[in-house]
Amino acid sequence: MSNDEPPKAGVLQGTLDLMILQTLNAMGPQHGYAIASRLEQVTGGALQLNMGTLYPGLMRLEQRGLVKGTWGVTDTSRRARFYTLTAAGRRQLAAQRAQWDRTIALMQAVLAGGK
Amino acid sequence: MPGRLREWILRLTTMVRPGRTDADIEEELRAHLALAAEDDTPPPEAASTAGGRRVALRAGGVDQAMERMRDQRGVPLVADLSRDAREAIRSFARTPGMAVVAVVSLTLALALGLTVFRVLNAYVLRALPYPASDRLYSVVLTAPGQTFLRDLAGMPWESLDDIVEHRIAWDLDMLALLGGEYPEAAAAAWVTPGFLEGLGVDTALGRRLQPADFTAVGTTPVLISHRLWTTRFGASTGVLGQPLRAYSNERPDEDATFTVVGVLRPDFWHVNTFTDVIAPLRTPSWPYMLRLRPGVDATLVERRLDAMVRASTSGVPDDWRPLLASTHARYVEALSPLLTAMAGVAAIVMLIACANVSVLLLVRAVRRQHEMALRLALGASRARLARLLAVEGGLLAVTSSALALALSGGLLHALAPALETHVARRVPGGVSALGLDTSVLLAALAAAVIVTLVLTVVPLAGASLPALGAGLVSRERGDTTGRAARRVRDVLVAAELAGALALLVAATLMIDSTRRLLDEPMGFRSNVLVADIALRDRTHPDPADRAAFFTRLLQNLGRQLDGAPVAIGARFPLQSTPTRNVTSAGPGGPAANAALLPVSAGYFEALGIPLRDGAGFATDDRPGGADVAVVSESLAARLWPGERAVGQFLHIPDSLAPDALTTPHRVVGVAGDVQELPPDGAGVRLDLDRLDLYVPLLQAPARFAFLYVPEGALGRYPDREAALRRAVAAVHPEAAVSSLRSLGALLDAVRGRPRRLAWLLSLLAASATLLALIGVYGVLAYAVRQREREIGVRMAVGAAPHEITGMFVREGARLLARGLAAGVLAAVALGRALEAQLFGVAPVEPRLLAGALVTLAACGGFAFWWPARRAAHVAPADVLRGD
Repeated sequence: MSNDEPPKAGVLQGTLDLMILQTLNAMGPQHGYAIASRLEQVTGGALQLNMGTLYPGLMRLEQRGLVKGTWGVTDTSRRARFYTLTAAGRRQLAAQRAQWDRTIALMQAVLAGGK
Repeated sequence: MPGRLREWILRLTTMVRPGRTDADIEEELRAHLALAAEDDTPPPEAASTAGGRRVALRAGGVDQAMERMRDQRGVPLVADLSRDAREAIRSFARTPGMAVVAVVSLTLALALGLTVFRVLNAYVLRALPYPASDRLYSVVLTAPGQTFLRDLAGMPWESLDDIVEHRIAWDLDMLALLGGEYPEAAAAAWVTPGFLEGLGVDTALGRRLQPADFTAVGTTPVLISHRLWTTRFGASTGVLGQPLRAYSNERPDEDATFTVVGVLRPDFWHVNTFTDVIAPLRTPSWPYMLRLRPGVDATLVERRLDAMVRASTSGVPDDWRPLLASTHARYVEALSPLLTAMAGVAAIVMLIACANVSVLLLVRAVRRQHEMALRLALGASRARLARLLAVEGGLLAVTSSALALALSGGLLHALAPALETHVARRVPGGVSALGLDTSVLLAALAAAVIVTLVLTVVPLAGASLPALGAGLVSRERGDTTGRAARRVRDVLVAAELAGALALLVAATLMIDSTRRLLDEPMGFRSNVLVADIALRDRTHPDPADRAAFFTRLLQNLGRQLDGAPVAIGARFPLQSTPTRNVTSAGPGGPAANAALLPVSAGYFEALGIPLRDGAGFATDDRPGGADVAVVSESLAARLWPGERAVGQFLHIPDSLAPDALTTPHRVVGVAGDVQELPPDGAGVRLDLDRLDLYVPLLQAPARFAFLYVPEGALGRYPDREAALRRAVAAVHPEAAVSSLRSLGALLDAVRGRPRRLAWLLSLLAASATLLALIGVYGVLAYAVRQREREIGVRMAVGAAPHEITGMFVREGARLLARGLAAGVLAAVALGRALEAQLFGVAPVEPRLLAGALVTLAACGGFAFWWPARRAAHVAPADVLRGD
């Protein structure tokens, strides 16, 4: 299915959701462009999400009830769609984070043991 | 995972309830680009590039993102298909005429096909409405021309019980139910235990017949039909145990009181005429049908039967053979010529409709070649184009198929009675079997799938694929349509013309045949009512009593109806009549096989048969009267050519002792020729020799007779039937009138058969011809349009208008010639299929064939001359400037 294809911008499969959820958790309600800019900024420009990756991802999260999109106005008086983390989204973020931490720890242990 | 489930439910629901609109999504994406442009600070190395374009490149295209979001929004395949469907509907809406023509022609063709299929399904494909009906076989113990074996009933049939499960026999009878104002006729069947078991006869109320019922003496327990229960007993449950007073035509002096023990289920259906009363047959009988045990082969039963018959009786001819034929197959065998002919016609019309719609789509595809090539260039895959064509074809096919299903249902609902009369076979299990069932739905679905395939593959093969690649180029070159497209198109148009010609010829054959049939003078008038009258043996034991009854009846009626001509006869003119080999008296006198018709005085007047010479019979005739006869003109001419028939003598052999000497009958009159038209099975047969011999009925009246009363004579009675019944009952209360029919209605039923077929075929032929002409016209008109550039160039370099017209006329003539040549072959084949329905015309009539050819050639010629003429009026400058 097309939505399960890995994003072309070098995003690790399955990590885009976590990144978006984390960004929204850290920064509060944001529009898509702000999310992309924030991710580009925190990765030092290494992660440039194009619209064809970001927005279907946001739509998927919204369809799963993890985020909620509403139209609002930016600081520069421009209409934009703002995404808010829902309670389910927060639970999902916690679960995915814990999962990710465990994976990292496991990988580190394996890689360290292999030296 | 609930989140994922929620996602899919949402995605699926977008199929019916759209989620975010495209506009909403697009606005979000545009906002993204705008926000990006706002805080865009060009890096130093790219300072000169236009900011917006760089942002767009980095962010990815809006269109591409839109596409991916649409996929995320719904289910991609479904979303694509529904988008294609919307696109197809929009494109049909742009050319509504084409869409309507396509749907109408497909609907008509499919409706015809489905109607034929539903008839085929009801009669042939569906099993007879009996449990395990494939094990039911009809037993034929005397082939045509074979002698009838004696004592069949007394043979040891039970010796076959190891291979035969049930022996099914019935004895049809007419009961006169007593107790009402006048006796009511009810069809009855005296049946064997095997009949009930073998045909799975069940009751809706009360009990079934039990073994004891078949041996007991005393009152006879009977089962009555649901209809009789409703009409005579008001559907009361109190009917059980009630006496039914009646007498039987076959056993008039047996116990006349029956006891109702059960009511048959409303859906009980008997292969023979419907029965209102089922009674136990208490005398031995031989089986008409057998239910074989599971796995038993019919040929084995035939062998055993043959051996049994030969062992139990002597004098069985060597060439005698018993025959077992599937009951179902026997029931429907008379239908097969008609069904074959109709299936052939349906196939031709479907072929024409499919060809026509294919041509329309093909022409449309060619016109859209540029658009399609553009789409290909823009990255649409060929599969995507094929999908679009399939969706368009599918939309047309499904719409037409659904409409056709409804149309065929309506047609059959309206035509079921006519159909049953026409094929002289009731629909097995009742007319509801013509309704929708799984096979019919599957057939409609299959038809839709096939039509979709044809409508996808033909335009694809004909136009898109070979031409598409060159679509952009060819337009530049001013080239005409692709060679493959033209070939497919030519074949389709030729097929349409061929089909139209075949149907046209078939229709003219049928019309000609019907005209001849209707032109044949019947020789009698048809505004006459015919009533069947039956007397009881007990009340009228000998011919003298019966003669007295009929004489009084005729006198009474004559008085009551102010001297209107009333008469009785042993047969009626539409019935097939037994013949006798009558000879002119005197040594070596000529002989002829003549139909023997016992009639009363007044018969010729009542039926309007002219007396050419002499007189009819005396009104006071009775047993022992003078041996006189009236002959038909044809018989007179055959027996006494060139002589006056009145006063001559002839011998009528006894049917039981053909060689015995008989007293000669003196011819007293010569009557006009009359046709007997037997309404039997499929096919048309006319009584062509018209050799009829009338003898005085009242000299030896049987217990049954037909009473003839002119329709007008009963005009003043609101209920003619009741009036007649009362008049009969007034002469004797137990004389029964079992049916009252109008000779005209009977005649119409018989003549209606070819008339209906002729109508149907004419209608089909007309619509097929019209479709084919539309096809020819369409193809030529579009060919002209396709080649406008070429025409423009030719005219610019000096071609005369007539040369341009000639160019297209030649192309049209070539198409027409091929189509008509194929059509002649198809017409010959269809004519042979219709052979059984034809009267007085050969299946191949060069005269009619030539007529149809000329008609179609003329119409076809006009259909292509018109667009060709228009081509010559193309203004070169307009065309060349066109692009």
